[in-house]
Amino acid sequence: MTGLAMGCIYALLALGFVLILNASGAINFAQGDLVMVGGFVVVWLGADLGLPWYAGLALAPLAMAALGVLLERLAFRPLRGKPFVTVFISTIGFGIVLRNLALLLWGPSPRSLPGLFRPDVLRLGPAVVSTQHLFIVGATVALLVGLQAFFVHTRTGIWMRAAAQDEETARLLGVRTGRTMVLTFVLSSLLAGLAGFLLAPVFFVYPDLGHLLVLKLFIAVVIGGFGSIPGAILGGLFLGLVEVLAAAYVSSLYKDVIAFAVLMAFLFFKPEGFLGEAIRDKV
Amino acid sequence: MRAGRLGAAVGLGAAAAVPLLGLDRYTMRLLDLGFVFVLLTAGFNFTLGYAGQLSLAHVGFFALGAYGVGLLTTGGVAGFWPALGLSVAGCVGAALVLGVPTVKLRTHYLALATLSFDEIVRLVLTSWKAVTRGTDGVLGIPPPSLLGWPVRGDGRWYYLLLAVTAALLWLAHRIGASRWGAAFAAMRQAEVAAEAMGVDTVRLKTLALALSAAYAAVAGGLYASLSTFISPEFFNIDLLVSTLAMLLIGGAGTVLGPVVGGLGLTFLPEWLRGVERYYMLAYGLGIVALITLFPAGIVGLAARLGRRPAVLAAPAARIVEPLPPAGSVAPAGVPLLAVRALTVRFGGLVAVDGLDFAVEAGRVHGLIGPNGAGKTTVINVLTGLYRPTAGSVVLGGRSLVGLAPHAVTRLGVARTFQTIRLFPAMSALANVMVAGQCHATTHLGHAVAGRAARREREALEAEARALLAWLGLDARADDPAGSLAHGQQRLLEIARALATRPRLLCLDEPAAGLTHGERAALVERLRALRERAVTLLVVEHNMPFIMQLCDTITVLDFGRKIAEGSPAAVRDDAAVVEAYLGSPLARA
Repeated sequence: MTGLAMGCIYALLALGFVLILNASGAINFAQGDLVMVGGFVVVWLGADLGLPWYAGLALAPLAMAALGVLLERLAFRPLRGKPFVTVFISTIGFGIVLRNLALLLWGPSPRSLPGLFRPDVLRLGPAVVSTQHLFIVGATVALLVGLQAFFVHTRTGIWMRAAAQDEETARLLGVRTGRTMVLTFVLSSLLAGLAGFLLAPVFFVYPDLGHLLVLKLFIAVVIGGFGSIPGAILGGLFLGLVEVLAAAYVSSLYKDVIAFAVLMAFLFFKPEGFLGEAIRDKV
Repeated sequence: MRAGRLGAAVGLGAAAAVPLLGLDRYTMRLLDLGFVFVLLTAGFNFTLGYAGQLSLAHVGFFALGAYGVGLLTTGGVAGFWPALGLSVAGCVGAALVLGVPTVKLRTHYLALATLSFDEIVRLVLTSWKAVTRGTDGVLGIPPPSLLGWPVRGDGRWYYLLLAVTAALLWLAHRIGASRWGAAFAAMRQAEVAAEAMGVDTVRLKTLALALSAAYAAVAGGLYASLSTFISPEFFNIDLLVSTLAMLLIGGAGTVLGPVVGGLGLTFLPEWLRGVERYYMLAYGLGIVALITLFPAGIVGLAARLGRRPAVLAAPAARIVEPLPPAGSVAPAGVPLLAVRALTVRFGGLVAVDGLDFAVEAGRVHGLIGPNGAGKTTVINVLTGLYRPTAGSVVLGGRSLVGLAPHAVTRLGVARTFQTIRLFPAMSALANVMVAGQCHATTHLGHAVAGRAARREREALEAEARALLAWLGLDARADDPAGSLAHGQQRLLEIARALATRPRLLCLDEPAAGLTHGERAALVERLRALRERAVTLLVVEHNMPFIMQLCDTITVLDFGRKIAEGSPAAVRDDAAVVEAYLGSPLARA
């Protein structure tokens, strides 16, 4: 269950990343930092300010959406059509800004949100399950169903997919691609915020968390298949399980080494991942 | 060139005078640290700037170099210099091993694989406490000594680092200006074409990785000794991010980029101290601002602004005959190329199906057929780009199956591309010279010092100019290939292919997009080639062109040979007419 819950968080993280990747072709190195900020915002609103949950529910997404717009305006829009390393650097810069902003606002010490649920474990027959873990899995599933519906059944969702696949044609057909781009960043930032919210009660939130997360995210995205949305979810879940199994059966000290070794193995032997397209140079 | 040397001398002189300014210790320390970063970034420049590969492994090699020197010197195993030598050798060895699986990877995949290498190195350094002392780090690393003098104090460290940095930057410059530099540029701009012109891209990428590992190891060893203390945390992703920002903001692919970026970003946080506790915030914003304003880097931008019309040395007066003399036609009837039972499948699709044909030496052989008949696939197999599913390809008694494209080119099969694949930012002359170096004999040592490389370069240039003149391109020799007109670009592709001195030249739709006049001129040049013992295999859609040019024509349809013979015979063949126009019933 722990593996599944961590896997869900990785999946949300990877999903937000892949949305931006598909829409803009850019690697968003700040995705992990967005999750970190999301976690801090939740801890701040919930624990420090002691706001009631519905106020937090309204304010936190608002803050994340604003951050998404800012990211697009500052780090992406001025660099459209530039090589991907250039955009990579600018998102790295944006990540540094977020990290130091968090350091200034909330300090360097790791924070955590008290558990949302009483009791915090449930007995299901012989098994003991953490309520928060159950909540993480439930929330992720609900969100994925919702997103699926959004992308398939709403006009905006369809526009966003069209613009991601072929921006020029979409624009010719009347899609306002500038807007769908901003929307993609907002959505991605909201997903990161949700991941932060789910993570805060089970994990410590601290300014440097983003680095750790972004590395995990890369692993999940490659394993699942670069650019594939179902792949990102699958890769995230797989990574969560691998980590828990590695910690249980090999060594918790080397669990990260194992995660990276799995990534390298995939890159060398199956670089297209589970669900990605085969990579081939056409002449 | 002379101006460059003068600039380097002035810069070095100014740098040597810095300790006389009486700067405070802290600033001197930062300068020393800045040199370490310049070295590390200069190493990174080999992979990202020269080879165009986003390999991020330099941070792992930097860590290995630092730990190599730190552990060997504090353990009393070796003094600083032997320890540094061992670390560099170890890192180069590790780079050669890492290169085996990573050399095939591109862009994001390569970045992530090498990033994983860095993280694995860091995690092992953290966890393998028995050897590395884990997070406690390695303390009390001694300074190096030069001729019995320990390098202590700011002045000595400064001069040592300045000397090492200047030497290694000079080396990087020499490599960049050599034929390897040209090969790097070609690979960066059009990798497939570079490989087809005889550039061994696998070796070139491995070379870049090994050089970057060596530079990183030197930087790491010096860093360990300079700071006397190392711990795994220093070699984290922040360091990677800094070097990436240093190189890109300084200017990737330039010699001075690492200097500007390395020193500049080392001092940037200091200049931002004025904003006190917001300085790291400002650092992040500064990076976003710098990369947005200078996407090509500061040095890249300066170079573009200051670009003068290229003043090349006057061409060597000696005009060399680019091709074998007329009249040396090989005896007719000897097959130069024999293709037997060739089959190529892509998944379920059979692109070429049991094809047999032979090309006789000294002839012009046409390969025609409707769209999708498998013509380009045949050329891709002949030139090593695709591996056939079954069948054999033999050139003058030697099998070509399984050879890499550059190896096939070196055996004497050259090609042009249907969709033009020149090296667009390089001059027309440089395009041809890159291809010409496939028979070059100088090695990397010559590039660093020695006249052999210059002599070879002059010979290459003379040969390339002669080829351009022969194809009527001499007036555009010094213009970037991307600025040539379409017809000229097609001719330049032919000139480039001829520079590899092929026995068999494969032309993939050489007349596509040419005007009527250009086409006629092309036929004349190609027929002249035949007189000069270059055998031609031509894929083309333009029928008058192919009928005029060819001695023999093979017709393909759905990957099978449906007819073969003289142009006249093929033109009247019922199967050919049907393949192009449909069956008589359908036409009726």
